[in-house]
Amino acid sequence: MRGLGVVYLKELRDALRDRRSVLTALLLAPLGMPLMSGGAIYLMVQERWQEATAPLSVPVVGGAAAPHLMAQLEADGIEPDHDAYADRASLAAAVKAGQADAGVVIAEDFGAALQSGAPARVWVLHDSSQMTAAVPSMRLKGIINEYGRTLGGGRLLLRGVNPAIARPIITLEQDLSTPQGRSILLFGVMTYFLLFVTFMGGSQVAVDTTVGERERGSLEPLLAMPVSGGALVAGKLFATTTFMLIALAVCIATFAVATRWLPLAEAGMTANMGLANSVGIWLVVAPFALLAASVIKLVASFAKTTKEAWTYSSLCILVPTLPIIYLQIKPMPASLPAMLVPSLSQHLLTTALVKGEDLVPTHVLTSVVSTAAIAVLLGAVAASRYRRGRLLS
Amino acid sequence: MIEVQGLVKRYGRVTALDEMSFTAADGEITGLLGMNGAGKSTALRILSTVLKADTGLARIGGIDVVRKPLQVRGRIGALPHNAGLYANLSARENIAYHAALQGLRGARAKKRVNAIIERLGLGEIEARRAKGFSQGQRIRVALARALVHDPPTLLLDEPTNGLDVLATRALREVIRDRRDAGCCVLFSSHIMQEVAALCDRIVIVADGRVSVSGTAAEVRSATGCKDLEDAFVAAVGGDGALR
Repeated sequence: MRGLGVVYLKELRDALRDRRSVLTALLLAPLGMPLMSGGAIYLMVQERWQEATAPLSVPVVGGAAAPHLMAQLEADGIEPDHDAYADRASLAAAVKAGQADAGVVIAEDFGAALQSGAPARVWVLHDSSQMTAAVPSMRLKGIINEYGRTLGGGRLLLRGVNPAIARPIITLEQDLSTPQGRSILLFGVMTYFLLFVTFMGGSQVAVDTTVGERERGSLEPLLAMPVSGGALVAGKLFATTTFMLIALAVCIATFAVATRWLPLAEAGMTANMGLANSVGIWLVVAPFALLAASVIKLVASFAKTTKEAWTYSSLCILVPTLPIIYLQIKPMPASLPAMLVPSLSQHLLTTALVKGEDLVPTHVLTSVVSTAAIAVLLGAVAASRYRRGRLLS
Repeated sequence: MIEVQGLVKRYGRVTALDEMSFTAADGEITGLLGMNGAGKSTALRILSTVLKADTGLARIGGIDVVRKPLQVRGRIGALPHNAGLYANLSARENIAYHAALQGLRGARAKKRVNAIIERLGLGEIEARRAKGFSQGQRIRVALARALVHDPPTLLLDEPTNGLDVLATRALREVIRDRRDAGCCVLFSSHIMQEVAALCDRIVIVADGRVSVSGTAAEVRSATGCKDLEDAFVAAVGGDGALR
């Protein structure tokens, strides 16, 4: 492996002087990605939190027939708007058109039904395909049901019956999640960004040092140097990996800093992104950088032009996201076999760190060894492409 | 000493080298003369170990280029058709990179790089990045790179391409200088006058084979032409080959 260090340092210097390489590796992807997703998380949390408690105005038809119910709605922060729509049909049309998130229709015989002891009808109109309708309609149903239960209890009491007798079972909920654990709902996607940014961070360098070098004609004199193909590829691979690791570090740091501004406490979450954990995440994802570098390097060594290499490598970026997407659909616990799969293992380990769980040493070891082994294997194939002729003709 | 025996190289259906054989001696400048596409670059690439011949034998300093490529690479200085500099590196860095890859380290490397920069008059541009170099500057830096480890064999692929008269003369001087130091210099060109002005021996190549070789006088007598240009035209297959 004589010459590896020389090649590594030269490629690093060359890439650091290339504005495009530096921009993609150190700025665009690693900073942009977390800020974009952080912004999305911020808006989401803000929205949810506000929606669940914020005063809400809801159009009501026939509210005059149920003054007590209207008072109850108002007491619970929902302002009934009696004048917006004249009848049920026009309210329904408005909800359907998305002009109102939800609406309430009180049956004309509401008062009479209540008096006679028959079920009094109240409609909650909503469009379940509208995301924004979910919270208002849920709040409405909750308030109306509770009001109904209170009325029912009062009736039983009047008749000398304990209202509890009408509720033979009561469901109690115990949420065992921790604030850190709940944060995974938001940070589960973080690994996706980390892997993506790692890949992006070195792709420019990888393509530049392979097809780019051939296109610029500097590959031929390089191949005439008394240095083995293995040393050449390893030097270039490590330069690529270095860029990826820097991109990864910038990305994690941005996430760690961004979480300080997220209103996570309001959503009952704590982000586990302290210094120790951030370094831990960097370390468990690091082997993936070597693998990503080998993949692009290999792909680029088959490409005839830089353009072709870009097309191939942008397809490759999708591959490591597949296990993570699969996991979103069909969650599975961390297991030894799962640690054999690159990207899946990094995702599971990162997730565990964010949740504040202890890492299983054998899991970490398996993940590192398996990912690095696949990287070395692909790197060796790339190196064989550097034997005479293959890359030049 | 370069020995080439029966080299064959095909790219698909195209035969680039068809049993090419010649030798180039130490202390001599041997010109590989032929028209574009005659197989000069292919032969030089095989000699510089970056391309593999289908069959045939090539030895540099008695070492087989296929069996011991790393040893051969340490003994050659190759100037490829395209200078192939790194645009983001300065002239000095470009030269120093190849010096390091050739195994030169520390003070010795620095001394060699300084010496070659001075010899080729690159002092003015040594700190500039190669991005904006003129063709002449590029060739000179590439030549410096090829000479930095003081190789006993030089493989130069059309080095005077795109050079002006002054640059060409300076280049010739450096090449003669190496010859006088005992180097084996193999030099390819499609310009007959170029070869006549510089080379001790001429190897005329056409369609991947050697048609005539020897000193200028030998080439003239072999082709029966008084003028070297006529001899070249006769050797590559007459005027018809040019049409």
